[in-house]
Amino acid sequence: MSDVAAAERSPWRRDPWIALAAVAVFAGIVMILPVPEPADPPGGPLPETNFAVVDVTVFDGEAFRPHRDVWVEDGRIRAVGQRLALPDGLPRVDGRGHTLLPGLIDAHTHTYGMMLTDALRFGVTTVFDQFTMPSLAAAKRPARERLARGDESDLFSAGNLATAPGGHGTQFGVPVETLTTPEEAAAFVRARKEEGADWVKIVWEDGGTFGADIPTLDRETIAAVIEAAHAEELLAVIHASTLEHSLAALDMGIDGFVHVWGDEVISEADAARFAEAGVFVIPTLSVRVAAAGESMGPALLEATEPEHVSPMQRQTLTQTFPRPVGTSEAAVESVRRLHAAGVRILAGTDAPNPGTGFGISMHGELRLLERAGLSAAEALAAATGVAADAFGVEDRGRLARGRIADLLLVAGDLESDLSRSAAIAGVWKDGFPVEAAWTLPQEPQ
Amino acid sequence: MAAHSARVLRRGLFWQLRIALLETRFQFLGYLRLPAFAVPTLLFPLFFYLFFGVLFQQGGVSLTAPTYMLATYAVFGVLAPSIFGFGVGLAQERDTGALLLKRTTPMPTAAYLFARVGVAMIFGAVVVASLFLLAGFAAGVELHRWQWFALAAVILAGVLPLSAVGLAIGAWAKQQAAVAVVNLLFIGMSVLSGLWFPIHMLPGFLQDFANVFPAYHLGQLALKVIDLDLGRPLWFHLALLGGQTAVCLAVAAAGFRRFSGR
Repeated sequence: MSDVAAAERSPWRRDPWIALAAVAVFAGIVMILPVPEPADPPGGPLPETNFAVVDVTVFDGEAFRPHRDVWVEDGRIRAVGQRLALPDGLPRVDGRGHTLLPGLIDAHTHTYGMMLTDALRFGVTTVFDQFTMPSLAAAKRPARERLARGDESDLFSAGNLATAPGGHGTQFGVPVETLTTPEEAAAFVRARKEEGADWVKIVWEDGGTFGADIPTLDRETIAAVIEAAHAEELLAVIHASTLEHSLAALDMGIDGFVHVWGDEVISEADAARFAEAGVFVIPTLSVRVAAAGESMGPALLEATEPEHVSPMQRQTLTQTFPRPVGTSEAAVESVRRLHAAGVRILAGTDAPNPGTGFGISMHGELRLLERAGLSAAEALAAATGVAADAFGVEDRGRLARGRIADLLLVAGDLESDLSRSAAIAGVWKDGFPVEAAWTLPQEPQ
Repeated sequence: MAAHSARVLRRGLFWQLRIALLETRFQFLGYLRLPAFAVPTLLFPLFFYLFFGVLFQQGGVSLTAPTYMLATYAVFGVLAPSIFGFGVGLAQERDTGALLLKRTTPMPTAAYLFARVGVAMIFGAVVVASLFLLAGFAAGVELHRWQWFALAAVILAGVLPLSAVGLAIGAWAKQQAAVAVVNLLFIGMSVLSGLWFPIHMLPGFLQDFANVFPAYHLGQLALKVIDLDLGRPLWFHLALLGGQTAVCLAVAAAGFRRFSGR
């Protein structure tokens, strides 16, 4: 009895309290450990020039990478990585539940009207124009060389296209320099270069696929233009509307195709030839399906708040081609085979052709590319990194150190649902937030 | 004596807890008097972390490495007290007869096990707290408050499966053999589980092999709290860790039966 009583009085009565105190001290230590500075959820005003988007899923131009921080400094990307050592007081956007990607590149447009503003609102920060007035392209060039607040996407352009007198491209009332013989090719291309063309676009279009008969360049002249472009160190891309013409252009040494043909499906053997040649293809499925009478325009309009759509976007999205040309299935299947063979595919819309709208149609094009067998990452790469690489544009198209802070922030996980590319939560151009269209509800349904 | 037992029974759970805490206190004091155990156990992970996680990383643009190593060196920090305490301590007490002596006292077996785990947790908590302070204030690691707490909870809970490994060794190996086996396992498991350097730096077949180690799964669970794990699902690591713990306990139980039968 007495030893038990003694034990009752002994110091070990204190043991539970010592244990509790130890737990309290431990918890106290954890309570003083540093935590990240608070980040603002997107939705309010977005920071500019110097900021970070933290804990966001990044699509870097190639692949999705979760839990990344993207640090923007003076309008360029300073660093992309996990757990960046960000300076104190740097404005932070909370990227949780969102995907951040490079501003999209539409690799086939025709610049006109408010195009560059319309495109930017939908996250298209750079356009590769495949024919516009050289004076317009020249006027827009300085903007892409500097980082400044603006409301337009950057323009790279072929300028004046290479076509025959009275040929495709001359019907729009815009003065077009033309050529007819191989002997003119060198001077023609040099003139384009002097005008500031970023590459040369060639038209091979006899109207056969839509029941017309229009003048076009002959094979010898096309081959001579390609050769002249390469001599001037310019890329040569071609509008060819049949498989036969496309294969012929491939043999001539063309660098890229600005449409996929709609007349027949490419064989796997020919697709392998495309891959071997290292060419790229901008299928412009948006305009292909529209030409086939299956325009995505009305559906895109339906999904978009009316105030974000300009009158011109509304008009071109609802326009239709006079009569159906080709089938969308043939075009999609050709893209599927080209992609499977390893041919580089680029996203382009051919806006403002009927059934397409500046900027907005890129979100439809992504889904069409997905239909042609590209994964979400591959479709987005076609609209970012692959496009920038194909045209040799080095400071955009990827989220990487030193690149321009052209950013598109969307709500949701694009890897599992590419349609969320249009759930735009923010667009930055040169590090400055711009007025962005918000086309889908922010939370997944 | 009968009255004493009756009183012990009457006092119930709280009484038992007090006995367990008392045994914990004595075992803890025992280790403190054994600086050869206490000092390396506390300082080894801290020096490693200071060297690789803090000094090596000065001026880096990313805090990934110090954050990653915080988790893995913290697991490393609880590994030593867990497997040495049971593996070597138990074998020692058994071979010197101290264990037999303790079994003749009214102290429940559970109190003894509680004390061993408790001491490992105390040492583990000291290592974790020191590492956290070093990471937070010397390396610049920032975690959400819940992440700090969750990381500490995962790692300290890891004392249980790691102790089971030590228990299995201590139940079977002789005193001297236990020292060698535990050391081999301590170093081998640390390296091959990716506690010293990131698991993804190991060749593929070794990454697969890491699945046999509880420390690997514990490391991945800790890294999951801070989004730096390899991306396997939570249940995968929990299931394997649970299974491995069950196997270790079964092995230990078999060892004790052999010991009692002699």
